[in-house]
Amino acid sequence: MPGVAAAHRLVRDPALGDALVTRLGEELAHIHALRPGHSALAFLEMPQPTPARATIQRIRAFLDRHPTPHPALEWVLRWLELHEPPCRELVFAHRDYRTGNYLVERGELRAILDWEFSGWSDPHEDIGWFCARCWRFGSNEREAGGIGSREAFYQGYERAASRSIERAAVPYWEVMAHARWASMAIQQGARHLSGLDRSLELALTARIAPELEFEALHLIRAIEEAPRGATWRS
Amino acid sequence: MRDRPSAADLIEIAREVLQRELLPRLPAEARIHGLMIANALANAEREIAAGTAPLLAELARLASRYGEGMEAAGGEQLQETLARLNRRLVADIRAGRLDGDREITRHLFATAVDAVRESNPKYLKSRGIE
Repeated sequence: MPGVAAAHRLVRDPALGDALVTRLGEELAHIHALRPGHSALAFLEMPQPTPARATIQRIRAFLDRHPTPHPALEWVLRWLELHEPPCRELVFAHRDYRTGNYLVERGELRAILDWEFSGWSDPHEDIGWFCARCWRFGSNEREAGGIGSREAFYQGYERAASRSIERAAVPYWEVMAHARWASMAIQQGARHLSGLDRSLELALTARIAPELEFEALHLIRAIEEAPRGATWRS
Repeated sequence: MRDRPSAADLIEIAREVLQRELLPRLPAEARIHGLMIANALANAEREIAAGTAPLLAELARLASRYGEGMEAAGGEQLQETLARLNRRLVADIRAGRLDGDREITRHLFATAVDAVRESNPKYLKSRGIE
């Protein structure tokens, strides 16, 4: 399939912006239109007891098997446990919907890639993952995937979706995004160290974990210090 | 004692030669490997330059929290002692015994900042920390 997926190239392309993230919002809404009960997806497990709790438990189970303790990540997981927003509905979520995982050709969205993490979740998980700072590839001012504005992404989503985005829930899911990506980075380093899959790329990915932990702590502080009702920016 | 050039000096000059002489001559498909090697070497340089200072600072904060003396943590036992105290910290965090404890969040921030100083100092700059 023709097109570019490389995140570092896409975030530096001056021709890309709000039009593309509006389209990506719309596409995400179409993915989220699939709901539990769909016969073709009956094989997918239901997250128990909630999508957030299931992810927290999976990360803790991984950390329990890992040789070195990660107190910062554990502190973030405890915060996520205590501040979980209500999950109003489950939808089919991509769970790795971000710049780097879609194809763009001449400014047009061509395909969504890398579906291996997909499953039932809170729709806000994908929204927070897409907007999280760790997936902006240095283009930090453009909060939607390093490509466009958050509002353009939200607008595209809400125009095509049967639900509106709970603005207050998104920062929570951005903290979750950093926690989940941190645990994946630690896991990739462990794969390299185990000798089963020796790779410089995996080894270097493990070195991203500290900044993800730092960013999660930073986000939590920003959320806790924000005045009630204030517009929150990450 | 060991004479210089030290391990750190060697890694530094190896990275400089890689960046100056090799990277511009690498075919496009091999460039990513050259960049990753330069990144790995720069990471190692920063870790060596920082030495044990950040680990000792982390240990001092943990030891004062848990009422332990620093003498338990000399030399090779440093990593082991840190791992033991951090496992205790993790258990306390999970059990909710440190909920809302501001001293712990300050400690975790300080430890994270020291780690990022080695792994990606540019990131701290983008967050206004030198």
